[in-house]
Amino acid sequence: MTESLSNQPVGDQPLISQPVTRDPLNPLDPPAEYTRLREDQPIVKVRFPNGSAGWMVTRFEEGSQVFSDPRLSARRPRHDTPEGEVDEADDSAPFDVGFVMMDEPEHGAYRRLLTGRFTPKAVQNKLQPYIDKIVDDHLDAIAAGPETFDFVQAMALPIPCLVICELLGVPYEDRDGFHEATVDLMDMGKSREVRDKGAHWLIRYITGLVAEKRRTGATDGILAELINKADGEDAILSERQLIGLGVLLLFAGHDTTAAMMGLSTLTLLTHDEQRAELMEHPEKMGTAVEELMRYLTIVQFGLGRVAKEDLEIGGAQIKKGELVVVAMNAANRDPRAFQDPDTLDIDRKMARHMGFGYGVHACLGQNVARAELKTVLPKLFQRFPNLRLAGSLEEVPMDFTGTNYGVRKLMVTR
Amino acid sequence: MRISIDFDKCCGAGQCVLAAPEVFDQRDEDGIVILLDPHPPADQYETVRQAEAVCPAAAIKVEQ
Repeated sequence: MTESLSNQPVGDQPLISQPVTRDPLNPLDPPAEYTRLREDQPIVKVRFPNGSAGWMVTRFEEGSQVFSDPRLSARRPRHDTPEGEVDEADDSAPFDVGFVMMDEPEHGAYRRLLTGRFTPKAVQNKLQPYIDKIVDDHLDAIAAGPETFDFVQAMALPIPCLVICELLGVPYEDRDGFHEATVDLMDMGKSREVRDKGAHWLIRYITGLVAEKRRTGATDGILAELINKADGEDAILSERQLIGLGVLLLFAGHDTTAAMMGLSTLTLLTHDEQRAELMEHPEKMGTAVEELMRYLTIVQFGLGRVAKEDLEIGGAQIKKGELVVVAMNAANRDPRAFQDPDTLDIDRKMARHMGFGYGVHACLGQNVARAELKTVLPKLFQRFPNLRLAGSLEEVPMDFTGTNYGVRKLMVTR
Repeated sequence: MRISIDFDKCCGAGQCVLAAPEVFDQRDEDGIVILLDPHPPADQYETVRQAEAVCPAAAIKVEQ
């Protein structure tokens, strides 16, 4: 990308705000303002939702540079919190988010304690049979229930909850508590007090669970494995890191996939030709899931990095300490990277996208999410080929304020 | 064809293994990529290019 960019803020001109408002008639598209910014001001100083200022990147190539340049640190303040809620750094977070905010080589050392559990092979061998079973069970329950039902409560929420419980070694009976706390924590439409309450609930919950596992000598799941890495003379995790990782894996491990599952189902229900093509060619499920990840890019306010020194990206002069946010939903619709980007095309040739982020910090659980989506979507439409929205697209309540975009409810008729 | 890998960039997503299982594998313990064949035969070129294209960290470079 060598085009010259004339996007420097001029004088005292007020900064534009990060676009957050979507077109209610096109709820599957990112805010329309991103399209204009990507063409005219692809790296631009903006005011973020919380009122802080920084850079926003809307093109794919420049966005991938931000995520790969070691001069930009993952240790960043939040930018997506409500108006007026500005922190200097991430130290105010009630729990330790661990490797999410670390840089290399520390980041890799901690993340790699977990990556072996999330490879395609590990997921296929250890989780896939379980996923097949619980999806079939839930489809049976849907078939035995009312013709019109909420897909979120019937499938999109319970499946990711069950899977993360199985993976971590968390009792599924506790799902209402940890899900409610997660929704509070992740909803930027809620006050700081409510979000902190969600965080503290999760901290107390994981702390109690860790104590219980220590007492009983439990060996099931990732949490028990992490306890082993926090105990004994050669411990590599502090107690705070252990609890932080447990909290992180629990909320990030189910809320994201639940959002994506609901939104993917809505997308297929409103794209009749693509759905028919997929039902006729189930072997296209792999590319279809990648395309849904690209097209929907649920992390709706982007992800930030902080410049560790003065640097230049795409012609913009970024100063040490400034926050640079990549709007991944805009980058994933960049026509320079994807032909006809606003069209959902399950036949699109697979290429890297930012649906799971990009670079060394790319989503740890991405293969778990893929496995769940690749199981639920074909089974759902095979079992209920006439599945349809119970109302109109405009009536579906969208989650405009959650860190992850999604549907709050999805009423469908089987 | 010559394949080079930036191991520091590898995020362990394993998309290369799915694309070209005869050329790439992952370590069981931490998911880091293993290059099984740095000079694969011609019938593997397409899958290797696919692996390069989908790597979410752009850690694979292919030269021909």
